[in-house]
Amino acid sequence: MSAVRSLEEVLVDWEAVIGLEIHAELTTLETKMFCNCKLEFGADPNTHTCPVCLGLPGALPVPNRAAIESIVLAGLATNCDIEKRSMFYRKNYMYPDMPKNFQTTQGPVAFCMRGHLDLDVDGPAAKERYQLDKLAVGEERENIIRTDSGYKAHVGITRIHMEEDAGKMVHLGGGEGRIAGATHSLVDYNRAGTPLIELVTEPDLRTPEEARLFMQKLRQIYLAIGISDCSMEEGSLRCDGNVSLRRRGAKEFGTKTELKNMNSFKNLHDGLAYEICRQAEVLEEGGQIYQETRHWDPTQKRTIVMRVKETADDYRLFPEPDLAPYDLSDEFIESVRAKLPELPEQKALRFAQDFALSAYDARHLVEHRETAAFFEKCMQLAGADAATLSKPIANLIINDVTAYLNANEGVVLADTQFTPARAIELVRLLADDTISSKQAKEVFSAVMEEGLDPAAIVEARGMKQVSDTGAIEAVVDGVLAANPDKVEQYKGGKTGLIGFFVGQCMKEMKGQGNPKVINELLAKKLS
Amino acid sequence: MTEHLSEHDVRDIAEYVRIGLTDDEVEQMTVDLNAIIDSLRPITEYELDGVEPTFHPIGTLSNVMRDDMVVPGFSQEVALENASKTQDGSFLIPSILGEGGDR
Ligand SMILES: [Zn+2]
Repeated sequence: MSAVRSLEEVLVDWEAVIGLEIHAELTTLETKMFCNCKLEFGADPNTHTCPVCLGLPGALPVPNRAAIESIVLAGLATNCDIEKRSMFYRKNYMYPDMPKNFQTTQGPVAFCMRGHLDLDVDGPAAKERYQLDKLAVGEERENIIRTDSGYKAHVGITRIHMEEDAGKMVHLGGGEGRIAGATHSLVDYNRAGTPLIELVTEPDLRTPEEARLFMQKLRQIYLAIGISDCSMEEGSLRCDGNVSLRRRGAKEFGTKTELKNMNSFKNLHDGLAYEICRQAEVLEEGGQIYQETRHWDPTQKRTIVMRVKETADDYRLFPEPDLAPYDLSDEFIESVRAKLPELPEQKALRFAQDFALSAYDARHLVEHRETAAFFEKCMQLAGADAATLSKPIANLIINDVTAYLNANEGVVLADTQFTPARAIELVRLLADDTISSKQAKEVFSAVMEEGLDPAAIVEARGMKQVSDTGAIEAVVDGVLAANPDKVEQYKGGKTGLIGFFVGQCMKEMKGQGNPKVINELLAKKLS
Repeated sequence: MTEHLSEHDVRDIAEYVRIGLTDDEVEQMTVDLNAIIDSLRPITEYELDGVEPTFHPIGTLSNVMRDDMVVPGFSQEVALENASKTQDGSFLIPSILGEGGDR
């Protein structure tokens, strides 16, 4: 089946109701959840196991204190209530990746309950929201409030609970490790028992962009509090989505499908968008949506059924008798709270206030921890000029640096030749008109390639911008004298010719004239 | 003896826990399980008014945790010792259709 109508068309008639389940492995810990085996991605198979994580009879689990601290930290960072009293449960199922035949997880009460995150949705991302333009700035509807540049969405978090990951299976005999057609499987239990936290949102999301932004924001928070490396590629951050549709204005939820394998932000967005369009088409043709698990295939750009849930899975959840319940003390919770660092959202607010940046610029600076730290270092170096240099530095980071990092996958800013000192030097050359903004881009690339200071590159390439009024005036006079007819036309009202004059002057000066000075002189002489 | 569980129930339970039982064994197991449930009958006869439910079998113990420190476990060789088949350091098993829990 191919989706014919675009997402925006579908969302005119239908409201999409989306909830996310996001799993994060606590990869920054040393050991597993219930045993002292080392956590290590990519180790030789079955080299980090013990009686506990292999589920051998009689082995007794003991929870990792650092994992409990991590989940409490995650809860505090996402505005959750921390439940002092909770416990672990056994979720029973038979599958070879889980040698104990049950997963240790939590029951009705999780460590973290009732949280929320507020999303800033603007730019093209805001376009997916139905009838946003009908709202005035500051006006509210359901869980959103209209802002200057888009809207703010309030997204509830139902819970974050603690559990453990399963082992890894590789299927043999089928195509490319897939289970279809496989004759045998290899099982590696190094990952079995890895501490895993699962965050479940309320069904508050209405567009694929909101889902993507939620995931991005959560990832930034988890990275900031240092509980996971959050690699969607390596699977330490995973996202499943629940989607259903209802007619605009309807109150009741439709039947939902569960979407898996959305292992990048793009896949999360595109998978949900496809599924919304698919469901709309089925419903409009009078068909029925089945409660089923579907798999997003990014190469085919479609979702395929993994399994139909005929009945609710019977996991026979019961309290884990081998693990003592929790009754967390205030001291414990407060000691975790003391470890809470400045979160990206707070950092953005501070950047905007202290350095006179727009909310948009500030938000993009804090998207990555390293660019935020880089910016902060630049501002320290700028000293008294911080307020005037903040905007050009922010532009440099958001545009040039980010583009460079995106184009050079795997490169971290700290490993490049571009230091905060060089960034400041570069924007100072720009600020005092030594170089033009076009030349600044060239200098930036040269710093990256040659590892020299910006001033040295400008010197070596003789690319200094000529700002000397006397020198420029001579050129301007020459250009005007050479084109008397154009000067007449300009004075007769064809003011668009200013571009022609600037171009001629620049050509004379081999691109090194300061455009600002040229414009000023031309305006004066032509008036 | 009361029949708490039918043979049908016992077959379902055996399927759940992946234990293969012959027809004779199902018959015997049904008798045994019903006898076990019968033996628990006195519990239902206690006077329990005003008694707080026990919410966890461990009792008063709580907040048992350990430090995040590595202790070497099994070598790969030992980990695989009980496996009937292995390949490249992994357990080799026949293909299982379907999938595990929803993690
Ligand atoms: Zn272990």
